[in-house]
Parts: sequence; C-alpha cells; structure tokens
Amino acid sequence: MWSIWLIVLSAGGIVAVEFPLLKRRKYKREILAFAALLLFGVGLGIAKALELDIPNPIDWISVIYKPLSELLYGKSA
Amino acid sequence: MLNNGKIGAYPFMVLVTMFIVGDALLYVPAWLASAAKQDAWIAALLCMAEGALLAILYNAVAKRFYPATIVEMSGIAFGKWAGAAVALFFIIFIVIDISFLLMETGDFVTTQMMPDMPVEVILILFSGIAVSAARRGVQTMSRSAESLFPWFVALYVIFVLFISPQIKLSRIEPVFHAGFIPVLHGSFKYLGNMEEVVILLMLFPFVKLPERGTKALFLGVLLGNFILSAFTAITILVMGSTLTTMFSYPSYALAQKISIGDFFQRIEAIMAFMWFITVFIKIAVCYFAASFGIAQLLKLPDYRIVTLPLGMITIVLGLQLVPNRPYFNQFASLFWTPYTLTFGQLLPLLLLGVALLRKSVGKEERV
Repeated sequence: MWSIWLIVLSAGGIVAVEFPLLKRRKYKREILAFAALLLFGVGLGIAKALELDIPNPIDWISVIYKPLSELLYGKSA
Repeated sequence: MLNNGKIGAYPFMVLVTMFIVGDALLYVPAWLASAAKQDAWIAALLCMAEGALLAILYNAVAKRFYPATIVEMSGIAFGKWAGAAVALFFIIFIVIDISFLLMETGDFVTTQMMPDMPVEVILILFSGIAVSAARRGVQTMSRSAESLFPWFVALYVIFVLFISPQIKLSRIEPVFHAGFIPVLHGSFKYLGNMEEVVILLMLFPFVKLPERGTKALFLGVLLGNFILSAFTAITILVMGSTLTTMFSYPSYALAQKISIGDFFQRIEAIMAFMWFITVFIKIAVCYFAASFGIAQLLKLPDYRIVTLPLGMITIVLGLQLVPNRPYFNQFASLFWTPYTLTFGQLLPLLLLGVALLRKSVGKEERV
C-alpha cells in the first residue's frame, strides 16, 4: 500500500514543481500534455504496484521482429 | 522554438563518443564473444566499419535537413499525419531505450555491488540525476560530458595499463575457428547498440556549424567504437572467450582481476565509475531527445514540462519491460538489433530517399 502512496506523493511533487510555470503561461495544450503524461505514469505505477497483469510491449515487439531476427541470426537462434 | 543555446563541435564529439560507449562497455564483450568466440575482436573491427558507414548516412540526413530534428524531419518528409505517426514510434523507441538503460544500471548495481538494495531505489536515483541534466538543456549536458570525459579517459587508460600484463596472445587462437558467419552474428548484436546513435540526430540541430558537426559525429562514432573494440579485444585476450561469455558483466570481472604487486587490487568499484559516467550521459541525452521530441510533436513551447512525468513513466516501464535478466538477455541478443534497424537504418534511408526524390522532381520547399 505504501508504494501507491509514494507514487501519488511523487506525482504531487511533480505537479508542485511544474505548477508555477503552467499557471504563468496558461497554455492549454501544454497543461493537457503534462496532465496526460503524468496520469499515464501514475496509472502505470499503481497498476505495477498492485501487481496487475499488464501486457509487456516487448513481447509484441518480439513477435513483430521475429522474421527479421531469424533472417539475421538463423532459425536456431 | 525552445532556445537552448548552441554547442560547439568538440563537445558534440565528446557527447557522441560517450553515448556510443554508454551501456555497451559492460555488455559488448559478452555479446560479441557469445557469437564470435575468440574472434570477437574481428567482429568489433567489422562493427567499426559499419559504424563509419552509419555515421556517413546520419551525417547526410542531418546536413540535408539541418536545422530539423528527426521529429521535424519526418513531418517534412512524410506529411503531417504519417510524419506524426513515425515520430511517435520513434519517441516510443527512445523511451524503451531509456527504460532498458535504467534497468541495466539497476541490475548491475543490485547484482554486483549492493545485493540488498531494492532496484527501485537505484532507478529513482539514476533517473533523477539524468532528468535533472536533461532539464538543464543541451549546453549543460555537453559541458558536463566535456568535463567528465578526461576522467573517463583516465580511468580507461589506467584499466588498460593495469590489466595488460595478463594479456596472452594464445587466447585468440585459432583465428576464424568457425568461419565468417559467427563473426557476422556477433557484429549484428553490436550493431543494435550502434544504431542508437540515431537518437543523437535529435541533438544535431544544436550544433553551431553543421559542417563541423558532421565531422564531429563521424569522429565521435569512430572514437567510441575504437574504445569499445579495444576493450573487447583486451577482455578476450585476458580472460579467453569461454570465461567472457560466462560472466554477465565481463568487464567488471576483468577489473576484479587487476592485481599489481599483490597490493593494488579490488579496484573494480572505481572501474564501475567509468561505466556510470558514460551511461549517465547516455540516459540524459535520451531523456532530452525523448522530451524534446514529445514537445515538438505536440508543439509545446517548452520541453521541460514533460521531463518529470517522462521520468516517472520510464522508471515504471523499466520494471515492467524487464521482468528478469534472462528475458532481457534474450530480447537484447535476438530482437534489439532488428528493432533498432527500423529506426537506425530504415528511417534515415527513407528520409534521405524522400529528400532526394523531392529535389529531383524540383518542387522541394526547403532543404
């Protein structure tokens, strides 16, 4: 549980650091991008902390690049 | 946009060199030796030639599109939407690379130096300094690279000098024991690391004079490859190929073997600093490239705003993408090169091809 608190706390820290700049400029696109990335990070962190079954993109990359890998290193590899 | 100060040719060269040496210093000897056995040094030399060719390709792209970064280039070459999609995949590639680099650091520290330390602590500390370097801009990063470079070179020279009494030439015999194919396979594994230089094209527009910048890129690639090749050769010459492949960090094991007069020994922790220096520069450059790319893609006025959330994402991604060491080894040795080929080889070739086509048709808007 403490790891989730830590994640939320660090997200709060990030907001505290960046808030003055965001407030001064009031640039909508910037605030949106910042919020989206931060939410993604927090969501991912909490999902990881709860040990949810998140898919691993590396598995997808491995599947996509399997033919090329076999071409380079041979089938046995 | 995003005025960040320009950098000179020499700092850029140092940046390129340290970027190439980066994490490879610990991994390359094992990768090369696992395929090419005692011919690993030949594979390393082969890679030096490949690296030179790659540098020429990157220089051609960088010069033609100067002062555009890869993200802007793909917009110019492929149009708005296709260009944005290409740029997005490129940024994902950088983010995956950062996660791997972080996890490599964490894995190295927790397995070799501090076994009881939770890996998350290392990840947070290391990404913390790298993000703070990236937030301070290209100029600061290149200066810190410039000031750390002499330390790196000094440690490297000490390393090479002190291990050289243990060199035995018989360890690389027989040369070409299994023909050329294993050497080629070994060099492919190394190639994946070299293709990452494409990330530096995100920084190329910050070089003051593009002409001298291309020279710096070329020299930096050569120098970085020379450092790695010499290191691989020494590892094989001292430990032999079998032992090199058995260690997960052969260069660290090599440093443990240093013993001068039975009192100057156990200096491997100092040697690990060499690796920390280069990997720090590499991670910082990647953070900068990724956040700068995101800012350009989304047309944000300042890239700094995305650095901290990005740091958070990469820490979690590092833990998620690399569940354990064998999984990482499997991916790094079989799929990393094909994956980087897409961005390190195919993308620059496409960009260059489109640029040349536009020029020959004669309705090109900008060079």
